[in-house]
Amino acid sequence: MKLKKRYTLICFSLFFLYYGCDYIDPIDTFEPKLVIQGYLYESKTFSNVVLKQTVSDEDLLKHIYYQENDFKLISDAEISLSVDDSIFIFLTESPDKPGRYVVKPDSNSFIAKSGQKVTLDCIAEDQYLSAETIIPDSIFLDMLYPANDIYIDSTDSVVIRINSRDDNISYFVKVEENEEFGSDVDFIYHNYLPSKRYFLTTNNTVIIPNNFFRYFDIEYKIIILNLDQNLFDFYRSLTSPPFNPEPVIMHVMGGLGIFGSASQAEVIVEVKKIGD
Amino acid sequence: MNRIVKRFFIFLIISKTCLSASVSGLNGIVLDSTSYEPLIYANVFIEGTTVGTITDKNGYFYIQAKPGKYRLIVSYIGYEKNSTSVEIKPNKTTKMEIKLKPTSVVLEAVEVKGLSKTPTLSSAIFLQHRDISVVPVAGDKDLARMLTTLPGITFNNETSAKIYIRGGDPDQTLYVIDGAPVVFPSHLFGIYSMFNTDAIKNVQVIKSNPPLEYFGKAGSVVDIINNEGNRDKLTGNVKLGLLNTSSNIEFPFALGTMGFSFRRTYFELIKWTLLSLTDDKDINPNSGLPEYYFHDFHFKTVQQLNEKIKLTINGYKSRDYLNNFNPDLRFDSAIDSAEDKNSSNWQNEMYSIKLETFINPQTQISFQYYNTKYNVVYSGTNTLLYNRIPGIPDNDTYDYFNQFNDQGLYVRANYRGLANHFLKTGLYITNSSYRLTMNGQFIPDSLTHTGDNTYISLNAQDSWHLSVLTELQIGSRITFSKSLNKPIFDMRVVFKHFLTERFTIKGGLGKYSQYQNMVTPQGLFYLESVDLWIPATEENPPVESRHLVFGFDYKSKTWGKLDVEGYTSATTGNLLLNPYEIKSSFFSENFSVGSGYSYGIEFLYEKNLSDHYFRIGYNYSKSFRKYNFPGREKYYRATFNRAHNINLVANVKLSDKWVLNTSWFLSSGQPYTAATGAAGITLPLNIDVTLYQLSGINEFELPPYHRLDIGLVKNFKMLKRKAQFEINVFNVYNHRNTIGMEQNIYLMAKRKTEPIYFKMMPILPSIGLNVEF
Repeated sequence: MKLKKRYTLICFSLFFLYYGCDYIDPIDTFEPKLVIQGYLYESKTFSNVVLKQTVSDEDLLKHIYYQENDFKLISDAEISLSVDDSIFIFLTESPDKPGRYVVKPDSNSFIAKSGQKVTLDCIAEDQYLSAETIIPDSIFLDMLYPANDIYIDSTDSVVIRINSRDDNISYFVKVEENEEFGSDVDFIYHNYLPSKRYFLTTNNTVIIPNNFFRYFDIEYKIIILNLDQNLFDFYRSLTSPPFNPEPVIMHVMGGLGIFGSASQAEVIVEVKKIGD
Repeated sequence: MNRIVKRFFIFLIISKTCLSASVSGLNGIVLDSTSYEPLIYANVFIEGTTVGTITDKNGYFYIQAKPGKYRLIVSYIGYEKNSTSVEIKPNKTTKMEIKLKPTSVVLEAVEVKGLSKTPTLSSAIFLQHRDISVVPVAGDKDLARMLTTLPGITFNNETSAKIYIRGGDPDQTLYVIDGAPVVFPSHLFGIYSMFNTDAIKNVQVIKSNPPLEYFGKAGSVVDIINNEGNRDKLTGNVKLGLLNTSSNIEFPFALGTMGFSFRRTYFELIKWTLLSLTDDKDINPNSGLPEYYFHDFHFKTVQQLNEKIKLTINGYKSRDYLNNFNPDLRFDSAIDSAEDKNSSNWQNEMYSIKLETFINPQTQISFQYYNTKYNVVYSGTNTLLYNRIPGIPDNDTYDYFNQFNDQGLYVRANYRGLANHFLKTGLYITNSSYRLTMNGQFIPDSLTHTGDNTYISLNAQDSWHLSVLTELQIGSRITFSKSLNKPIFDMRVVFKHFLTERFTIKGGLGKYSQYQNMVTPQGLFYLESVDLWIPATEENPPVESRHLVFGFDYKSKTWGKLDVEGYTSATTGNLLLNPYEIKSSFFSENFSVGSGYSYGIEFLYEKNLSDHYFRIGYNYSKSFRKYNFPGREKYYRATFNRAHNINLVANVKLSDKWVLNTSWFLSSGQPYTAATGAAGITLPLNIDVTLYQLSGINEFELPPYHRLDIGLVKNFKMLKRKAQFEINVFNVYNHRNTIGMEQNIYLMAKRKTEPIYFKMMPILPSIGLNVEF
């Protein structure tokens, strides 16, 4: 009898324990969050801020299927920018593009300058979101020799020097083939080199791998962005696998998205094979 | 520094005085009567008194007693009790050699009433070779899997041999073979034991608060003692299984013994098992399936050079090969790439030479030199399927090499000449060096780093019997290193008190330092199965850990044994290899320093009878980590942490020939980070990406884990030799436990109709034949 009681107790405990290991499907806990998307470019006029909401997986697939990226846009938000905590700029929703917020027509346009701290505050859907960015220094590319022609062989990388006050900048590079080249008239082949601060620790040199240049004797446009901390962290943390995801570093309080700034420089080069 | 040297010499002078003291006593060795193997932790006591001890790791014992005639009782689990008359003469030490006869009936050891004079350990479990066989397994007898049936020891998943003890990271467990450390023995898929169990004689697991003679790690200890070998005749065994073969041979040699054991797998067959890991529709038939095998080798010789000097030389070497590994195999076939190929091999090797001598019956000194090495090579090509920036070059070719080398000289001295004290001291001089090279798309050109560090460490410990019923252990350790700017102190205090003959309370606290760290690359998915070892340096300070343990145990011949322990620990200096990318400035930009804490309570009930053994263990534990890295600044649950764990192990002798082994696990699911929603974002230069809305780190738990394993062993004679035929069934009711949840956006959408989990092992039967000679 004692033995029976003991086994009953053990079985009951195991049953209790099994159901005590509570499992919750995270999908059922989905609550939409505000998503901000806004960029400031050094020495350029401020364009706009886009406000969205996250969607559940099912809706997302539908939008991806139709290759839409702007979905679930949020209207009627109150969004403002403050520059160095002294100048305040209020944004208004663009009448022809819902979810996009621009500087009010009666206000002066805003041109970002390096070193400025710009703070964004947003209230919408009973949620509050804020973010801030510091406009990075302007950058210039060294003149390439002669007439921006680059001579490489089939294994060389292309090296470009960046001039900047900062010796340790974060950059993002885009290389575009000339749109009018050969049979690929309608196809813009572009490669992106993710921002890698470590290339610039000793000198401001960008090394673009050889496989970014598919053909010789054509022009390539090389665009280099000097990123602020927000964009730098965002870019570098995007390369995360889905199985055990690492959070993307966004620097946005109260929501998701990215509010960052950059300075831009670009150059058009013609890549030629050594010996030609 | 001068003061420390001065004090050390004063200590030596005092020791010398002590050593010359002459006392009455009894010393000797306890051996197995058939193989002449020394028996570790056998109970030795004088009948009718509270005077007694247990044998040490060499089978030696020493008892101090007044002159007179006594009856000495020696007992050990699985052996017949021995009773011998003995006379202790004034100012003399009587020498004895006691041989115990093994018995097929499992007899419990008769224990001395009161405490022994060999230090008792809190949080420690002592296992004999036969204990490892109790747990049924899919492959060969598995030490790691056996350990995970004990409360407080858990595993990350079925495909990994890494074990987590009381919330510590795997690198915080010190593995020791015959006194020498092994860097990190592990094999893939969790089916194989980290060591060849044929070679193992005893294992002592100290889950927390270990004695200070164990150097270099901040958490637990797995102390393995290999067979010394048969001193009488050639013995051994050959084992054939579906997936591996192993053999062990021991024989008398010169002035002692010699033993070898070897193991080789033919795990290439696992391809077919892996095929069933995922649903048929998700498998790309063109994917490269992995080929995996390993071999390992143990060697040990013990030579009794004269009555007082014993020489032990032992070695261990293992090498694993993994070819054509495609980490994308588990994902959707539509985006899988047949071209992805990775290969890896890693090896552990260790050898040591130990000289042990008795200066007098109370004083034992040993000198041990060891050299241990770990290296891993990993290389391959991967399609970067999950890079969220479109247009990044499709393929990444990389190679990776890491080597860690540790060597040292241990000088240890034990002294039992003082009444009610057992003194231990040690001087350790060790050198650790490492080399790391990495090349690849996300790694700056030719990232190469090397470094080394030398440590000098002194430890002193005393086990003090305050009374027959109360024992206090105190110890401290000081460590110097050329790259650490100040000496590092560690300490340990443990007490044990018998409230009644059956009921004991115990507790302890300690502070420990760790001089080797293992980190695993995060976010670079093809490197996640690679472990990187680096020694502590000035910019990578040692991990420090503080332990607190308290509990009680209750023993009764009719009721069984119940052991209850609560614990808490806190560590600082934990290392995280930053997710996302690896930079050229080695330490400062690649690693984040963090901290962690754990707490829990454990229950272990054991019942041991002549024809069956039953054990149930339960533990509740929580472990947290945080790092100085964005998003990880606040404490979050460690990925390996399963809050509730319950393990049942039963070993039933069905008849003279048949034995049934069973084990059943039930535990909470592991925590994980979930994507619950997403949004589209357009980055500068018109790059469209999908941004996932993630939960907090490890905020959710996977479904509970449970599994039943059953093994049936038949004992019989084959060619007039003892043999065993084994049938083991892993995961009997084929419960496909969950290792993780897919977060791919396409699969997320499918979750509305079916959960997308990555599953672990299905039912896996295996057979094996073991022949002894």
